[in-house]
Amino acid sequence: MYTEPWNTHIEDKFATPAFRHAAEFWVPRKPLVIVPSRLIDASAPVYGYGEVGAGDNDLLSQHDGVPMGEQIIVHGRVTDSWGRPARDMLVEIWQANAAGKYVHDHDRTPKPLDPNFTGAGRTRTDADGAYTFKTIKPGAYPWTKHREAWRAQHLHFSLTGRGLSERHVTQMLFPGDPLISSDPIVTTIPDEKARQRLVSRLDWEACIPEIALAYRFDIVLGGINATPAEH
Amino acid sequence: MTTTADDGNRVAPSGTDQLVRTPRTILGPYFTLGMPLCSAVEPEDDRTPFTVTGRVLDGLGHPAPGTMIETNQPEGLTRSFTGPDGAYSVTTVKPKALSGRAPHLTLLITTGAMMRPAVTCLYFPDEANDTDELLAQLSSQQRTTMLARATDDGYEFDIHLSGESESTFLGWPGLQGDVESVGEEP
Repeated sequence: MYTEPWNTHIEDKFATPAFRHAAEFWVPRKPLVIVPSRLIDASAPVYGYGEVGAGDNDLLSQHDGVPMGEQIIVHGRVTDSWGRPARDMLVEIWQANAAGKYVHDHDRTPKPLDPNFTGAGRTRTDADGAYTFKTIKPGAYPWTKHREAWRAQHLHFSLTGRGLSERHVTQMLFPGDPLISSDPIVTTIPDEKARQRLVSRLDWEACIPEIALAYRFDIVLGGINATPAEH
Repeated sequence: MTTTADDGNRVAPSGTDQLVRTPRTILGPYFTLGMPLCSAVEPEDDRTPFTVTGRVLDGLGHPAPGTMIETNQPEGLTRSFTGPDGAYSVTTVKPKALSGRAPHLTLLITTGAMMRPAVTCLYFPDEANDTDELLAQLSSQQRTTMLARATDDGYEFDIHLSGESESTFLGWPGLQGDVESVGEEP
């Protein structure tokens, strides 16, 4: 029986009623019904939501003006566990603006939206598994009423290949951020070493001098044991 | 992943250090992803479009607003979010039937508390579902959760994230090993 894809470890001090409710009632509780993977997504078209445009990875250029905040380059490679490139993957990101505010109905915190920043972008990996985004560094933001429950500065990532249901969702953090160790979502990953794999590194070589710092975030999707082998 | 360049080669290259998976995280309450939303499949032939409507309900029977619903069929994909009342609406056409299968939509349901989509299927009450290879593997109760109801202008299909009426969510071999390593050193 297979029962555990959804359980989220919540640190006691961050276990607000809303977080507990979501972790308890907004996820399946019954065991998944295991069927041959050829019966799932067998016909999945790739990128059926529309073509990825050349500028869709530039979150600085989606509006008439330039968004407020610190401009950054975020780039990296997507690979399997042996470093082999995951090419032609759809990479989607979403993030808060420089003030730590999302363009989202659920974000009712009293912070300013930026008319020049939506905070969502997409691209696809090239033959080497590489991707690049231009964006602004997101602000940290408070998560709950707990004094220490602030989200560290982060970008959300979703990676989708041919099998839609194999989507890999993760987050990128920034090196040296003091909020990481008490972040209510980062700490749902119980293992400290695993958390560190969400931290990008400052990449001087990819910086645009006098314009933008660059952060490198390589993403490892998994290996031999993670791969549905029946497609 | 099936998308690597060496897809199909299940043997690890020798002499390379194995990299450790980047941990999955939950999507969080503000997820939007980066792709434009699209709630209609537009067929290239004259099949008549209809709507699929329904609600996403949580384990207490309350609406689950802000849940992403993705539908997949040979004719195309849709991606939309539930409104404040947990309702969604998609316009599409009857999918082509694949070999050994009855016409169906694959649905990916994602809430902010999930790390990956929950996968289920929608079947139509007016089709020969007893020929379907997937349904044949399910109990009659499980099959019932995948059957839409006919309405005046299409079909209705509610999704129960958990609770007594929980929808039937699908997994596949290999998924377990993937999930078990989340957040832990192998």
